[in-house]
Amino acid sequence: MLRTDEAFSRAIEAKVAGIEARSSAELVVVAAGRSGSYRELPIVSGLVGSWLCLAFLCWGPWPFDPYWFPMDIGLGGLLFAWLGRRFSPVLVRHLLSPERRRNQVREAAEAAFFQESVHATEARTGLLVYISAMEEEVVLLPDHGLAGRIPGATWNALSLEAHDLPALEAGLDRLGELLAEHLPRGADDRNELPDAPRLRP
Amino acid sequence: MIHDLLPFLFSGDLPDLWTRAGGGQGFGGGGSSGGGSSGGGGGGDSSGLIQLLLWLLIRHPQIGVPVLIVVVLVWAFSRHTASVGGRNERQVYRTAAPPPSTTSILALQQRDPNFSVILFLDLARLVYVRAQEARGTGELGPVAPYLSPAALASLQSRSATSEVRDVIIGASRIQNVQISSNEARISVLLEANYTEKIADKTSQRWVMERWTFRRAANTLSPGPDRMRTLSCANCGSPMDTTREGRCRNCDSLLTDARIQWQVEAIALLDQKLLPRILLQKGGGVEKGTDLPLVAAPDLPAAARALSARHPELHWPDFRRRVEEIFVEIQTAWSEGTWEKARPYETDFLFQQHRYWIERYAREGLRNRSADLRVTEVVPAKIAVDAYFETITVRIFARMKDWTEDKGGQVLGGSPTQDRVFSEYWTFIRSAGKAAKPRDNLHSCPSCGAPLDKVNQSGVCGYCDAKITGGEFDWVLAAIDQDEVYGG
Repeated sequence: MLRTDEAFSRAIEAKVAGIEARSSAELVVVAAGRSGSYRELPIVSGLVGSWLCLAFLCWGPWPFDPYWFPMDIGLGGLLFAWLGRRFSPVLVRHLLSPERRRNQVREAAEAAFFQESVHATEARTGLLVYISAMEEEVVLLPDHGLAGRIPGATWNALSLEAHDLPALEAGLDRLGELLAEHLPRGADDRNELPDAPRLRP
Repeated sequence: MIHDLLPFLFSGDLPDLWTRAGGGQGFGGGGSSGGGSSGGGGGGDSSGLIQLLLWLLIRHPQIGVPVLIVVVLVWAFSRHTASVGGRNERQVYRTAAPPPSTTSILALQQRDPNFSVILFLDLARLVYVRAQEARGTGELGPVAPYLSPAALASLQSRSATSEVRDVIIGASRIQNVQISSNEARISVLLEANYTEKIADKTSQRWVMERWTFRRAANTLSPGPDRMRTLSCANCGSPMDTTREGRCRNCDSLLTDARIQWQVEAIALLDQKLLPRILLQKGGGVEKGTDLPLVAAPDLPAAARALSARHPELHWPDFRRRVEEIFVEIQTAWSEGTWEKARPYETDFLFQQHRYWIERYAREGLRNRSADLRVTEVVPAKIAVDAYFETITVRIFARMKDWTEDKGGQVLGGSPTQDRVFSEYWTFIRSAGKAAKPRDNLHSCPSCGAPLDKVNQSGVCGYCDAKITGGEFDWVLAAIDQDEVYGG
């Protein structure tokens, strides 16, 4: 899984500066640890745990006094809910459908687009690169000025990997070539948005 | 006497005195669907109201006479308003919600961001034409992977024919979109004419059919080069499959509706022998012209987004382009020189209009127009998908419009009385290109040469660039009548 540490920040900032040196696009990179609480996972885990406890109490090899049932079932449910929360990255990647993960990340990316003011460029050439580490998804959200110069199909064909830093950097290089080709940097271009990545827990 | 009328008054069997017989609506039984319709005055299906009014006049004159006076006054006032072009009170109707198919298409585009309605309909029409032609030859060839066994059986169950040719699609629209967890289905309504030969008898037939296409929902749609030709959706090579339905070039399975749309079901809704073109004399305001504008609910936001994507595009420039194309097409229609309209229309629309010109000629008719004036151009819808930008405008115009026979006798419309009409015209432009219309409409948008060598495929004879797909400038993709356009 991608680690968003100091080395990551320095590498991404340098990459963004390099891309913007050749293109009039303004990149904003947001790296989030996760894009959703996925509360349903601990809840479902807790329910499953409760059911397992009940089954064990009813059909297990040892007899249990019914007096203890409510507390045992409750404690079992809480234990499994805690485990579901503790191991949610694994559960998210293996139990949730890819579509569910993508939709979650996209929603978070669209919110980040507004929160980070990616639209606040003179020519509307902002581009949000939203990385969600737990889901291992990357979403590209171009502002109108970019969307008008590069067809949607071209954006959809770009796929950036987020499982580790070298893969992400390679993807940003491909993105940089595309931007340099379609939006070459002008003489009066200026850096309108900070290059450093925004890190979120 | 009056008693003889009573059975008609109460039985509902009064003849339909105002049946619409022409004027830009009937591909199967009326005038053309755009680019110069035969004259059509006002009128509509009001037999029930007339029956009621007659009943009131006879049985309750104290009510019927005042009602008749009010009806006459309202009718006269509305005619007067239309004749002077008064439109200040025209109501703009913004759909409270987009049509159901639009909502479903948006949902499909969430799963398949490359889905384009324009390209999908291009593919659907291409498959339809090739499949119909194959009914005659018996050789499916490259269209085979696009037909499920059920669809193929449905086609083969029709009358045995030795030839099907000149398949022309007059209208096509998406009727329904259904998305399940892993599949998408799109039903397309198609209205078409074709010539078929059964035994030794050749006849022209009009049909209305519903073709349902199926595909995996999460598949990314291919681009124009693979949606506008019968080719492998995976590698793009010309369609050539093994007996198992695999592409010979890349070994992809093409018959399971996983990577490309496949016809799942075919329903023949209606068919008849092609009738002669019906004409109606006179000018006036065409039916539907006074209908409120059907504007997309997101039009203001979409307009702002378009302006942000393309700050070089200004409404006056686009309106000028629309008016110029409108005049060029109407002039080409009237003069019978349809090749002059080729640079401004997509392939499908051009073939459709050429069919109408040829059909008129076969019946010894010629549609003429004069004094064309565009009175208003109003935006109705702006959209963008992975491949195209589209702008739909409603054009209001008036002109002298009439149809005459070879001897010059006027059979429909009027050469002296204006016909007032409106239509919805949809223009497309490739996404990612500059959207500002060119200043010179009469030169090739690719090389600047004159447009006198544009062939039937829309390729410029000087630079070999295809200029009618929207790659170089806005081109006309669809014309819809007021009463048909739904947003």
